Amino acid sequence: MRIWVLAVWSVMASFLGVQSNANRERDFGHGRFSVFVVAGLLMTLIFLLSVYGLVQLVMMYVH
Amino acid sequence: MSKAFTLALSLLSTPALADWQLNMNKGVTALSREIFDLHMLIFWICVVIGVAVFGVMFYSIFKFRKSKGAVAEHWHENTTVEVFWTVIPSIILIAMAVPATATLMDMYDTSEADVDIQITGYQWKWRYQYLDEDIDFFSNLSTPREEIINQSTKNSNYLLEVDNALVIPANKKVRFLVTANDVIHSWWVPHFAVKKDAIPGFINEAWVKVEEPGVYRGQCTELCGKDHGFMPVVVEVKSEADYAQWVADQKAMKLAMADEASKEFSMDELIAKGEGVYQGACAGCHQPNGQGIPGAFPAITGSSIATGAIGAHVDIIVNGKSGTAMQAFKEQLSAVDIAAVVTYQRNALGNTVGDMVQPSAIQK
Ligand code: HEC
Ligand SMILES: [Cu+2]
Repeated sequence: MRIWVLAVWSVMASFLGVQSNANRERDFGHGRFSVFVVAGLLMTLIFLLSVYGLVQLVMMYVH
Repeated sequence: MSKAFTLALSLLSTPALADWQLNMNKGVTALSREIFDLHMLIFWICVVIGVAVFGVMFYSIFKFRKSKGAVAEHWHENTTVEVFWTVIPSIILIAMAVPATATLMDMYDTSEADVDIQITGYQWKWRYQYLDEDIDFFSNLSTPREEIINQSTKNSNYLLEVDNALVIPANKKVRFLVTANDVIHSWWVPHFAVKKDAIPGFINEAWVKVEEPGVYRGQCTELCGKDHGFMPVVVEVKSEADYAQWVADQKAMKLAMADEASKEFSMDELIAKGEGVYQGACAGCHQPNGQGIPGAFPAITGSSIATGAIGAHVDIIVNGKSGTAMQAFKEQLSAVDIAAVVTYQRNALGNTVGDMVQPSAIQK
């Protein structure tokens, strides 16, 4: 479980574009590639859905 | 008063200032003012950020300069600072998106219009079709050629004047459906804050509600070929009563034109009329002297079509030639105009065929 939480945190850090060197070394030292791919795709999907939802919300609010 | 002071004063007087105006227009509609205010808001946010960032930067460069013994600090990362300077701009951007979204929604709200007008870009003119009325006309540049080739002084509306302006009523919501017939153009009137791409096969929408009657000018603002700078936009905003009168006049004119088309014309009448049509609608490509531009636009002088069978000559003007710049003129010119320009091309510009065609024989 912990490995997933850390991966999600690292994906979020990559979205922001800021990551500490310590976390980077941890990810590249012990991380599993597949976990990052899945976490990355998942977070992208969540991001897209939230943008979509936000636009829907604004449109609803205006009309 | 010193000379410099007088000069400064004259520079500050309105006409001189107008020449030096750098900012966008406030415009003449509620929406254009909203867009202007949004622009100023974003502008001042940028100014504040710019002053703060460059202020800190220049201060640091000056205060900690090497000649004062400053030594560079060597450190690798500071996650807190990095998150800070990433999150703050993001928050500023999101905050700016709030008023921007509100304005954009207004701009795109073309619902419940009182008047619908289709605007079509052509090389190089605009066509205006009033969808609820039976009104449909082309709007061509009317600046005299002498002014363009520097043989007479240029008037104040140089290249911003047309034969038939778009006419719209004041205080009514007018919706524009913007498209193009050949290449991409863009319909732009700065005072309306409307700039819409006119794209073949697409319809883009825009709208205005102008409060004050007046004449507003704009241009095509998408590079569209040789005469891109010669297809201005002129919009005449009329009071409601004047607009109703104009609509009635247009309809009467249409009837009169249908009447004229059944008349018999003499050859001289057709040639005289045809010269005007030719210089207005054809000379841009085939050139005023009929010599064309080799490799691009064929000469009319000695052309096998303009000196051959009259039926084929009429046909290329009425229907154009697809895949070439020679467009179909049946929508743009009346039967009288087409008969006139055909007769003109056959008996002027160095051609001496000697025949003519009557408007009644033009099959559109
Ligand atoms: C936008 C440029 C353009 C304009 C404006 C234009 N033409 Fe043309 N015209 C052409 C081109 C290009 C051709 C050659 C078409 C082809 O490839 O056969 C042509 C061909 C012709 C021809 C046949 C010439 C020949 O020998 O092949 C005639 C006649 C003609 N045009 C008449 C007119 C008339 C009359 C008008 C004005 C009402 C006009 N054109 C306006 C571009 C133009
Ligand atoms: Cu254009």
